[in-house]
Amino acid sequence: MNPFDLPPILYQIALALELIGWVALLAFPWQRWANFWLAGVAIPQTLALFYIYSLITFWFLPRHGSFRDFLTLEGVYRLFDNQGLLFVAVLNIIAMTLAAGAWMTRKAAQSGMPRFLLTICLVATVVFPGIGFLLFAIVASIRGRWALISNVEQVPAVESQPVAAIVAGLPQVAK
Amino acid sequence: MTNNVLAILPTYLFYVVTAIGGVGWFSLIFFPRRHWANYWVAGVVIPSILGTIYTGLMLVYWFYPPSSGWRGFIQLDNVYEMFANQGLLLAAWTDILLLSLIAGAWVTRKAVQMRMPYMYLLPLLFLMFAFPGTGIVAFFIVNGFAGRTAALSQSEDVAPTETAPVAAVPSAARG
Repeated sequence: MNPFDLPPILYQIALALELIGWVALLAFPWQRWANFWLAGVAIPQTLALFYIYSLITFWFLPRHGSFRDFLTLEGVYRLFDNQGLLFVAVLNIIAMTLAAGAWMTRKAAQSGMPRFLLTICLVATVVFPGIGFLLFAIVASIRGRWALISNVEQVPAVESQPVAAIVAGLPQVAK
Repeated sequence: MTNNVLAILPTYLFYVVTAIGGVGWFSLIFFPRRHWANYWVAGVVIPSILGTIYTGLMLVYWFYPPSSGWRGFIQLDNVYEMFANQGLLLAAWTDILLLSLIAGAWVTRKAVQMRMPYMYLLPLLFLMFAFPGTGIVAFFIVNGFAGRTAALSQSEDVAPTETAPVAAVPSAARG
């Protein structure tokens, strides 16, 4: 085996990992362990670690990566002559798709989107991510859900101490 | 004639797509704390535009020779063959830009909600721009060191705010 080749099994492992995330999202869309911890954090982070490892190990192998390749479409194609970097690009797509899918699911939960609409968007996202996101964007424009999502996306972190509310008119309790 | 246009179109469209993605990253890097930038521009509008372009590319080039079919989804070698079709290569590039931008915008919003200093956020954004997979791992590590992982999870679980406002009347005033 050519040491510059990527073991083909790695691609299937990555796909299987991704699939676990999607099944969890489709089966348990409203559960936080699925839509945040598993499909939003654990699996994308694992895939991203794969990504980092392949990027570091293959970037310097022939034909090695170069930032200049990012500047033209031909350059991007040349970059993919290197199997490891092609794998990196695929990992990038599947990890980010899953992260975006998990986000869409959480926002659907928070904005009260019906499950069947979400399912259509998610299935489209698995196969063609761009189309899936576009569908989600359209569905979210119905009934002003984008504005609802906008609200929940700017709630500051709750790290203040709880306060005691004292009903007006009642005598204050002495400490 | 049409075929000639289709053959050279991706080379030029590449710059358009990259520029549109660039606007999103520009707004994130320069206005990370503005909601119009980290939600509306980089999180909704630009990803939707890129999603529209992606959809168009897929519809046009999926059937354009060398057409790929579905094999590309199973083996890495087939992915490489698929990218011999420049239109599909550009679609993949658009996909990467679009998903990375969604993830980048989300990271920025969460950083704002978690009150992460700009000093930490800025390098993370540059890292996400160049190598999204590395950037998102770095974000979770930085956020984890600040002890905000649980807060991050909570901020993704805020209930929808679509209840009607209620009038609170102090009991003493009820008469």
